[in-house]
Amino acid sequence: MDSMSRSATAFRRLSLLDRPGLMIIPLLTLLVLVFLLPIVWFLAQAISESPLSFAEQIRSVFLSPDVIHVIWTTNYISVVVTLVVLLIAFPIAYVMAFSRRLFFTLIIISVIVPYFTSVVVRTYSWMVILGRNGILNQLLLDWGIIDTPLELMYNRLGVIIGIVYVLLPYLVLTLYSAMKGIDHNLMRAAYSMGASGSYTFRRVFLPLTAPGIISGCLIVFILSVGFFITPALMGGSRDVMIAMLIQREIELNLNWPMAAMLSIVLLTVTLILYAIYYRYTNLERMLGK
Amino acid sequence: MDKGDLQLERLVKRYGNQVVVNEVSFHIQHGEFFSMLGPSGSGKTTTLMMIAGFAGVDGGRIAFGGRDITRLTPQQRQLGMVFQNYALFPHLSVSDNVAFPLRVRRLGQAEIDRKVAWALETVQLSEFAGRLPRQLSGGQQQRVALARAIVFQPQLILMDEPLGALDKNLRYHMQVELKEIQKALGMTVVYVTHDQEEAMNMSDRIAIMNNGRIEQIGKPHEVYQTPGSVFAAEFLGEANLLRGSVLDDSRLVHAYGEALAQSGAHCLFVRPERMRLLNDVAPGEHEVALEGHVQRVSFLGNIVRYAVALKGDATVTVDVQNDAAARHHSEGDGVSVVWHIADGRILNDG
Repeated sequence: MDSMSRSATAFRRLSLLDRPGLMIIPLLTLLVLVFLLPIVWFLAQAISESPLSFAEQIRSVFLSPDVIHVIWTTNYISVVVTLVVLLIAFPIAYVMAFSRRLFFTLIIISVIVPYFTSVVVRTYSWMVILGRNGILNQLLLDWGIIDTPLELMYNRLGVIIGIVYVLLPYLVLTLYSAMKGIDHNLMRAAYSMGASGSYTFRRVFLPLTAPGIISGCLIVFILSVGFFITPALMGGSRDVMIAMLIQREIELNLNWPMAAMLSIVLLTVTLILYAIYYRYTNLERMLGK
Repeated sequence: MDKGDLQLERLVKRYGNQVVVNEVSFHIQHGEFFSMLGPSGSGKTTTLMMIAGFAGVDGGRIAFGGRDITRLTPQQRQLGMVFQNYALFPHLSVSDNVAFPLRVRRLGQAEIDRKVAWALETVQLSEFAGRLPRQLSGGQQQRVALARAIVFQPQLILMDEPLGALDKNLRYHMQVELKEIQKALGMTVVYVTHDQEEAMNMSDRIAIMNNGRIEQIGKPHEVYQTPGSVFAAEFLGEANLLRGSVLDDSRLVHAYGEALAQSGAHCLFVRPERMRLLNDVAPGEHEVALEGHVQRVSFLGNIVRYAVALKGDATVTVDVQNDAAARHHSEGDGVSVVWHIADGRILNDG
């Protein structure tokens, strides 16, 4: 090593700011101060307010039939939402990945514009469409397809339609980037070896998109589990999801310890799913995209 | 026509108003190694894609073994294909990649195992069967792609710049290996490249392509020695092309006829290694000599390359073998550039 590069290395060692770990300290401090500390403080306060011990509080949460019902409802809705979103997003992303510029721009605009619109606005728009006297029911009545208006809202169907619409862009974009990373020559290679379109799709395209599908579905599921506005506006009395229950415990029942316990449940589930998500996004990178 | 012959008849491909392949015709015989050589945009890859069935044909026809395949899907054509970036399936192991065309054909497991083992042995990769493509070097990935193309023993294998991503030494090594496998298996290969050395090293015949047309087809030494056009001459290695007032020389007119000197319609082509430098010795019989002086000397190892300025504002390149007998000339030396009349060739300068 010549003297120039040796002194350069020495300089780099002296200059602490060159270390990536140190660079994130300001950001880390901000996150801890305004995000992590308040959560921990709120949870600790709320739990210590209760006369019961921590273990007893956990038991009370998981033994309450109401809470169990809400957790079950939340999971059920989230699973259905994730599957429906996947079913709709996959073909959209597929068309996007293989279409030319003009068509691609049209699709991306119709995916992105709602993405940047407020969830409240979008939910109310669906209410205008799906309501008892809404556009859809009016059309179906006018065409004589139905005699009485369909119940499309204030039930589970309404909640699922609303959440699916809001979360669709997340999966479309995730799947699109996964599909865009696939070399078109791989499909050509499969065809040249005699593979049919469906064989190539099953054995080449789908396996290569799988990491994208898994991570995208996890994101949708995570977001869906914590959803509040749409189920609150479009759901019925039996479609209470966990975020709504937390809000209710705080504002109506003033039962902060209960809200804190439920928050911990939600937070834990979310963190576990994020850990899985992180694993799969790493895997995606390992595949050499 | 033989069973494995490939015939292209006036093949045309257009993108909008642009004609990218313009009436390309050739006939490849069974067992032949045929290269399409040209710069990027010359239409060579598009022609290959039309043979493979990935690009639609806008005119003309393709016949293979006497059968018209112009409208067949890639699957129906049953050709082997090696892509520039290998196109190995990243989620499948080496042996699963090679087994892919056999699984598509629903062969039995025992037969698949036997053929995969044979193909991997042919490309000397048997011990890497369990690896994933990304765990292999570029040269090894290339060999997996080759194994996958030969494993179902197709009548014809298409290769699109398969060695383009490898470094120079490895590329030469792979050329030799590829050529040996091709000869051993008697494969018919259509090979696309922009590397003239690669094409000359491996091919039985070369088609030089330019602007969507074939400029010339021939055996490597024919195309090199007797190019049919200025483009072919310049694309295949170094070429001296004498134009303009240099040609108004009685010795050249005597050697090559009156047509040469007439009004810039022709130029005279001579390869640098076919020229010699002399100072005071007289040229032999059937030789031409032009006076000039050495402008630059480049030592390239096996050869010494001289740039010699001739009278009449022309410069020629002369390559001299760096052997014991070679006489050294310095910059500024007055020399005669000498070549055998038969080594010069008159080309249309269009």
